[in-house]
Amino acid sequence: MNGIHASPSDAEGRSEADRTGLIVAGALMVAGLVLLMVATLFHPGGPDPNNHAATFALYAKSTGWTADHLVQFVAEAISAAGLIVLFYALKLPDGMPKLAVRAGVVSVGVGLALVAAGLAVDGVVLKRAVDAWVSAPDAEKAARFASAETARWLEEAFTSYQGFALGAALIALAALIVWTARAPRPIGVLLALAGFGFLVTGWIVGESGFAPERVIPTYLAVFSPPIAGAWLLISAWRMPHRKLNG
Amino acid sequence: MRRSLFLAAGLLIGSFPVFVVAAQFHPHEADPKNHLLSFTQYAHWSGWTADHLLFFVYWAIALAGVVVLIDVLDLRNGIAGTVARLGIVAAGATLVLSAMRFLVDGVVLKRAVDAWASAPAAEQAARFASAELARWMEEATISYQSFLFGITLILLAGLVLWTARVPRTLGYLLAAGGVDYLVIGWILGEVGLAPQGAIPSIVGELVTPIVGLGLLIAAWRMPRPGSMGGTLK
Repeated sequence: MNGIHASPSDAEGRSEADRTGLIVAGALMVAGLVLLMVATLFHPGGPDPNNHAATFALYAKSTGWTADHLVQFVAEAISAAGLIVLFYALKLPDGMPKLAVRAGVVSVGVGLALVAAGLAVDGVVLKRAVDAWVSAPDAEKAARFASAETARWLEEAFTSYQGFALGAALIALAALIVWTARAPRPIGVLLALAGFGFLVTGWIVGESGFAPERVIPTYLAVFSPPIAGAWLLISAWRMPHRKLNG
Repeated sequence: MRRSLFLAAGLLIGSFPVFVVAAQFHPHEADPKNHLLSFTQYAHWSGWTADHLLFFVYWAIALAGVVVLIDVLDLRNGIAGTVARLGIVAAGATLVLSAMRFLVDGVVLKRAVDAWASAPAAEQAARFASAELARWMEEATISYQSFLFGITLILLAGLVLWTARVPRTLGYLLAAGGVDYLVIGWILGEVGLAPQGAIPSIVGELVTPIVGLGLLIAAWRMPRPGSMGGTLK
């Protein structure tokens, strides 16, 4: 109904993935990264993020902080919506596959809530705390710095657990794709890499904060889903009436 | 559908008295941006935990109403079904942020202001900084809770306007409420609990019970099961 085809069946009566759903999912995953790149352009960078004194001084000088983090949130929400749409677009049958879909969607929902919490801390609390530290009289500087560090650790904590939640969701989605082949299997492999990247990032950030070791797994987590999304978009677009498990 | 519509309406309307009761017991004399005054007032306040639990119950009931309404629309397939699922996930994420908001406001902030009020002079500055961090955390969670609820209401509005399974007027109201919550989220994130957030907050608090009343009337006018009748359009 409402513009989406009922999914057709093949000769053995198996249901196929929903082509429109796959296209929408792919588009959302790509759009999420594009918007994230825009937000990243406006985010201050440079000093080692674990060097709090240097980083906080830079953040205190930054403007447009609320808007920048809100755009980051919208980007992450669009990517999360892409994963949810993809889970349902696979049109998996009742039983274990459907249970895995539900568990995966719940995991994405938890991940989204943790993303919102993390950006609330980063986009609001941390900025106010570093501003208060910079403008505090000398007698209060130490207390204000401690306060800003608490906000930073909260941000790291949310980032860590959002990595675990989204990593679990991506690995569930990857396993479903590789298992059922309702989308090209390499897409499942790319999503598994992203899930692994999220899990490793979650561990590193939880263990040692925004340390340099997190960079490669973070790139895996951030760039694999949009590449999978582009692949999905092209395969779904080019195969209008055939199964996508080629 | 009629019974489920009554349930959605009952939840949306029923949340409002809970909010009114909770608000009655919450201090609001001091300007919330004046941290010195408001923290002093909070430190002398009793019944804080129960009051904030009641606020959380208000949000939980209202969100349950939203989820029941999405379910009542009975959209399982196609784009509409996908939007309905995204709406339910967004409502769930809003509930998590609501819990965070009230655990910060209802527990952390109270303990922080109590510790500040009873601290020796040498510790006052550090304790005050700690209480301010809790206040900023409260503002941050309200901000992102509002963004998420705004998104939830806009998704629901889209479904109501698209399918017309309940009167479209309610869809416009939900859309206006959604935009209002986005505005609240922006103000809280940018300037905190400032006076410019007062009117959008009042509008936001009224949207869900008004939509609930509209649903109640729509459900009342629906033919009972088994009888012949028209549509809700």
